[in-house]
Amino acid sequence: MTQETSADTELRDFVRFSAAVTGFSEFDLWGTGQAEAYHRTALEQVGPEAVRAAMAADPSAVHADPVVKSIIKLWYVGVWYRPEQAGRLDVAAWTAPGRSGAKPAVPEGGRDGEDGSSPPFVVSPDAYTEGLLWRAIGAHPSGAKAPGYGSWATPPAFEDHHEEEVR
Amino acid sequence: MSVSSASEPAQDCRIQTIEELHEYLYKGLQLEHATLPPYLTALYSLQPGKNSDAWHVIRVVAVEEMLHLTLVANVLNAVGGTPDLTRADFVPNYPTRLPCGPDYFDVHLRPFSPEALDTFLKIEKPAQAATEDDRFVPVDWAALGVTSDGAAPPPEELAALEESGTVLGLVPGEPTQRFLSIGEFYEEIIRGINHLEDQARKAGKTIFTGDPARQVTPEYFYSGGGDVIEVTGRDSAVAALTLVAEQGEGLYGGIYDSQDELAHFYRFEQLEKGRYYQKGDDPGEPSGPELSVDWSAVHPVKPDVKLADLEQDPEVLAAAREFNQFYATFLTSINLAYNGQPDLLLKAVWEMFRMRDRMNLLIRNPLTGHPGSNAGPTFEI
Repeated sequence: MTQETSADTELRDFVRFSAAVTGFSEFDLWGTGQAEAYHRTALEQVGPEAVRAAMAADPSAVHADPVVKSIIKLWYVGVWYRPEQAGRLDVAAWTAPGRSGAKPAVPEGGRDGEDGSSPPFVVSPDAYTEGLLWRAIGAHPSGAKAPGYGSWATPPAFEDHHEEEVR
Repeated sequence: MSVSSASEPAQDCRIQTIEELHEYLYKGLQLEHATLPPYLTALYSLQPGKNSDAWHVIRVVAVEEMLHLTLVANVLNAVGGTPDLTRADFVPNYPTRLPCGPDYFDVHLRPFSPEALDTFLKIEKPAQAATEDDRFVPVDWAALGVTSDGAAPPPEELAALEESGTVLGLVPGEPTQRFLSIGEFYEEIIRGINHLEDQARKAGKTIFTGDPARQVTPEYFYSGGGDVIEVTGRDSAVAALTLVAEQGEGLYGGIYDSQDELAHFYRFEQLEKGRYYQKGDDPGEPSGPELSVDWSAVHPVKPDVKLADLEQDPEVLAAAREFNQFYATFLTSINLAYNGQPDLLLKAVWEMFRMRDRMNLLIRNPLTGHPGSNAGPTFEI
């Protein structure tokens, strides 16, 4: 409780890096409550070496390390896509009702069973609710994080960074 | 607590004027509100998806404390008073102290833990005076750490202390004494209402002169636990204040209140005993289904966290400052609701959801320089 451990330091580095590549602040990323679960997922899925290499890569480079793309997507949608899947846009096929964890609606390379690798998966029950995409579009996750009964009768409450753009 | 009724002979009563009654009721508002930051901090320290038993228990109690605040405001409005949740020092600087029988205990802002649960049990604990003399206790200033020799502090300091809510349960106007318990504090208010109303009626008047439009009525109060009571006279005032006391402690020594809700003390005791109460149970012996508590599935909020603790984390500090401003604004709108615009309470519910989201963000952020501790709302208003 008194000393910061190396695991704490690694996690903090991961969040600092994630803030740089997602465009959200470290405060916001910690605020999802998912930092530990996402860090663990990345380590388990691609190994510490690949995570370290991704974090050392230049995040502004056009051809970013595909692991970086997986990490960005993880924060936004709460789903782990393997690096070779991360550029795909078929999120809906995976997250539509009844499809979570099921096989994709469209065939894709490297699906489960063909090369022994796993399909995309939702990291935790709260990952969906905490996805950055909801805040990025100024919305609440459907069916979760209730904004209050009847609140839909008033204009949406945009966060500050949206407010400036909207006005 | 025992409840006075109009038919009982006149009892010794400290409230002799309507102004004194208003001041007592203001202290009631301050007291009811003071339980909310500790309850909400513990509630949102629970990691999502875990500890659902504890989550539901704390949530129900917190919502009912909001009902109590509203009930006290209704009584104050009914007797011609003006609720003011924006008075300086309305929100205590935590830790605050509450009376529980012979002792005071500290109420901290802290994460859900055995210590927090113990405090919650003390907040709600039944403590009825055995005799009339036991209802008031001289304040032990040394035990409170206010003065080293145990003497009362000088008058200005005493007045500031009374106003600040640092030590709750002091006798308004006589702050060198305090009530044995919160139950006795409300008992005194009920006696005061009876006394003043008896006197007014002898003169062909009433103390219930408030504008009925200032009452918060059930259509404005969104809650699952307990019904809001519109206060229009002596009976409804006594009913409202009785509900405030018995929702915490239970009715006549039982585990339920008059609306058939399990009293707060026994709700919390379920978490301590690992088992739910069910109908017919005696106090201390729940026989319902088992429940489990995971003390480790909790964000480690730094106890009584202050803005000064956040200086190494500028983003956290900024968010904590924003939260405090948001909370002050929120109290202002609740205050407007209690001052003739009860429909604002509906909108306030949406603000409560936003408050929850803001608290969650703070509570999940680790602090630099305090390894193993997370931030939290400081409630420095």
